Amino acid sequence: MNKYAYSLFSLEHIEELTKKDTTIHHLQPIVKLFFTVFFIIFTLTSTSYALFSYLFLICLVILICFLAKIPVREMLKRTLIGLPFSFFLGLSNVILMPTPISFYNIPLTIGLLSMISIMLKTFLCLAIVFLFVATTPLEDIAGAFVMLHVPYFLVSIILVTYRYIYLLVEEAGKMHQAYILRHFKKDALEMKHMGSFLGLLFVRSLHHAHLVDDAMSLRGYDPGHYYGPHQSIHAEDVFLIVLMAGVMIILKVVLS
Amino acid sequence: MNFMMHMADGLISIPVGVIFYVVIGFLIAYAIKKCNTANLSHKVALMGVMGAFVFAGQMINFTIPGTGSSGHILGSIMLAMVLGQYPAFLSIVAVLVIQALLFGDGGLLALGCNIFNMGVLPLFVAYPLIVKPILNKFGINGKTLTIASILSCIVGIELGALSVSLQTLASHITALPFTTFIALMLPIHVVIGLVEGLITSAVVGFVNKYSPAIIEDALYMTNAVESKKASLIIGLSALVIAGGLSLFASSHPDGLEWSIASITGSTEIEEKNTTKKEIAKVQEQTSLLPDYAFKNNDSPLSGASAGIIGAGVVLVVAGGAGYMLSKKHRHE
Repeated sequence: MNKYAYSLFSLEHIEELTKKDTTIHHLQPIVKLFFTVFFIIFTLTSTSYALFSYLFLICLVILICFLAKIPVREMLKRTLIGLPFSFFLGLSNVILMPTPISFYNIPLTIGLLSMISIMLKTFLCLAIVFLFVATTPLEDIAGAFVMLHVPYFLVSIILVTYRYIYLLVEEAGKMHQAYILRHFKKDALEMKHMGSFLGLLFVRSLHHAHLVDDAMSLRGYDPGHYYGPHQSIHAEDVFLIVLMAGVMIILKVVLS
Repeated sequence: MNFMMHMADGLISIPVGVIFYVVIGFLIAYAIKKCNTANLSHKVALMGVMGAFVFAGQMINFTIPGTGSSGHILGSIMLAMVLGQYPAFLSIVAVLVIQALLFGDGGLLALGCNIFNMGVLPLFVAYPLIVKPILNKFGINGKTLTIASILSCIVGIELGALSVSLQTLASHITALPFTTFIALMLPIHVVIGLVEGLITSAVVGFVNKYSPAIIEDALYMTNAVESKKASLIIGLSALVIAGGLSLFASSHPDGLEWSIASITGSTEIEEKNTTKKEIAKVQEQTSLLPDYAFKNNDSPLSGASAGIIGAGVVLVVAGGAGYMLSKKHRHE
């Protein structure tokens, strides 16, 4: 599978995951968004030596995976992508901070502890964002943004971009395939051909954009109106958000 | 070259993330207002499809001659040159939101930082201060498009790399000194900026041959709704934010230093290795702005000034190079 097809497959797969019928999927998107933010704050405020905090957060992520019927392997695969930069940044701490310490009777250095902490934080933050997206369709996330008073205009651009990624990635894939077939033993474009290649893709994209713009105008599109799904927040949702914040704060105090 | 500046949540602190959310919140509101002024608010599809174009464009890898490696475009400056500054900014915001949510490129808290580094700095600093003056003064042709593309891409990406360094250091994630971090980040990003500039110039050159009106419309639309004063204010604000971060970093030790303090009782680690001590001594003597501040000056304002100077130097050097090249081009 080439990377264009793989990318489209990944997007489609995430959409498939959002269609599952579980308690987590049925939660209000805004409740899940707040939980994701609380989780990230909890993670980032954990210090390097807060072992129990990290264990608790890892268990929580795995529990959510089971409740939402998201394969843990899938979650791991998606989150490992963000770790290389954290690893190299953490590696500098290993080199620059060689002071030995005993961490729960395990001989470590401060730098190594710091690197592990940075990588765990990155992993946990990526994991929770993935779980949020894998249990909430993008249209519902957009609805949550609108409830938070993110301008309709921007939310609409995000939704159109998302929908057109399929079309343009497919288009780019076809152009790339045609290029490769004409240039044996090459899997990447030559730099000198990038101008005409991307230029052509731009011209085609612009053509699509104008057609869509015209079609929207003819159907009476109003930029001041949001056409995506509208959601309303209920008392039980507010209660759930407050409860989550309270539990997180108590756990923070207990585990620190 | 795929490691370009997407910051992950684990690499920034909460205050740094929040600061940049506030900054980009204002700039998004400003960009939407400008789009309304230019009567572009009905062009949602245009901006959305162009966002998807950048997304698709970023998937196309090209071989970098002589290195054996491959890279892809970032597209901010390219999009600004064919679509206009404000629509381009909103498209880039949409792309970064989708990348953060669906592809794990960058984090949710770090989204503000990523939009600032890859959207605000190229589009609110490099584009109005380099591309617009060159194209307005010398006209739109192959040479001016090439010069403007290369310079603005280098400046935009260098400022982004500088901002990544400042955000990471302000979050107290790494023990690397400011100067070392900068020395690691900036040279490689000059090369990335140069390659991005060459690709951008080739693409806008192609578009200009296909339909010159596209580039003209983008430039004049921006001219019509933008004032020099506004560009200058936003450019200077970016520098002030860089300085503000340094001020913040120097006054609130947390994260790594806090952990060290909890274990060793001090935020500093005593260095026993003599070679390292010697290297540190040489670095201390030669570095202009050691550890975010002026030599022998511990005041928080010294740190802030160092941040501003760091960002300013990149802008002045690249801007100066642009001016020299433009001058040479004018004489020719």
